Amino acid sequence: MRKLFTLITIFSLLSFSQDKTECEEQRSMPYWSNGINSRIEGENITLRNAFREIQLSETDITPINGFITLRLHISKTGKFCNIETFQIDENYQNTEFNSGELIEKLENIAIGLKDWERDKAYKTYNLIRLKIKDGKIEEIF
Amino acid sequence: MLVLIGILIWWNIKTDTEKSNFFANIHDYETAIEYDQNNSDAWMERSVSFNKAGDFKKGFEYLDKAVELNPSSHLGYRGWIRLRKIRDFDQALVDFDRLDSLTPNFIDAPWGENIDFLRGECHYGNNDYVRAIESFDRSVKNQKEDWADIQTFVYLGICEYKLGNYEKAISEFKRALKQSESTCEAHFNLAMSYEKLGDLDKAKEHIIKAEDNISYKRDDFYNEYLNEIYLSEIIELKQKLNK
Repeated sequence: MRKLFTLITIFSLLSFSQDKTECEEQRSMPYWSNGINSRIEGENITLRNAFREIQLSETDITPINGFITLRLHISKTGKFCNIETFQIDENYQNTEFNSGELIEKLENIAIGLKDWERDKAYKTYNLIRLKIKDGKIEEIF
Repeated sequence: MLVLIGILIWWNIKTDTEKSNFFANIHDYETAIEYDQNNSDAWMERSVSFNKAGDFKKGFEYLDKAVELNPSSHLGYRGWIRLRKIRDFDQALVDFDRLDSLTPNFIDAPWGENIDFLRGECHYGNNDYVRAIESFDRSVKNQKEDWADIQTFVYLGICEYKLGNYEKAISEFKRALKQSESTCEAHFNLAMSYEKLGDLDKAKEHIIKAEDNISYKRDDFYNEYLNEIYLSEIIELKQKLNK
């Protein structure tokens, strides 16, 4: 029983370390390099559907104009690794929409995106861009 | 030793501008800027990787400096970046208009694309279809029918469709197909236009052609085009038409 427990523990640790390695073993290659062609299944239609609900519910965003970029790092097998975010106002200066609450909601949606595809097995990143206009999410691409 | 001394002499007789250009040529833009703060090309090139990677604050800090130093060389690119990378249509138009005013009697082509085609895309993005049609028409006029970007006719058709002019839309899409029968965007939008006019046979004919030619779609993994179509949309419309 003790041996079995030890084996299970070692196996779990190894599995964990493999997951960790997959995201940390290399830095993200840019999405445009080496013919990686990383994209989500269904492409931008999938993205727009995923953000549809928040697009409809968030109609009073402040500042009212600006741009958000989500940079999603995806492992070579298509697993989500981590996310970086950029928020700028209409003059391209740093800002926080809804005092930082909007980006948290967007991050949660982005983290839940599945089925990342690629032509070559490299860790890479994908961009999701949102345009905020007149307090609403006008574009997702 | 002599070679080393030779290289040192060669380097030391170069001006800072020449040194800056040397580093810009080997893609070390930071050093190029250190040698010559007025090297607008180095500022512009430094912006590229940031904008491609989605860090537009930093990217535009460099790009704005390039424009400040040499507006006629970099305004077009900045407008193009605003249009294609962040869909800031209003500011892109400001850049294109300013560039146009700086280059009288010359038809500009920011990043290789006709300026009126790009202005048309900006108006289209702003849902200002009348002004978009004016710009796209000007683009065709300036470049001549056979040399205009095939997507100009697709956009013209979509604008007419949005304005409810379905017959006119069809004639614009046919102009695109005259250039290339495999323009899937034209077939897809033709199917939608014929559906609006109640001609389901023609709508079905074109949706099949759109599906058959989807591999020829306008595609760029850096940016999504405003009139980009997807296979899932084609299949959805096909199913609707076949009900």
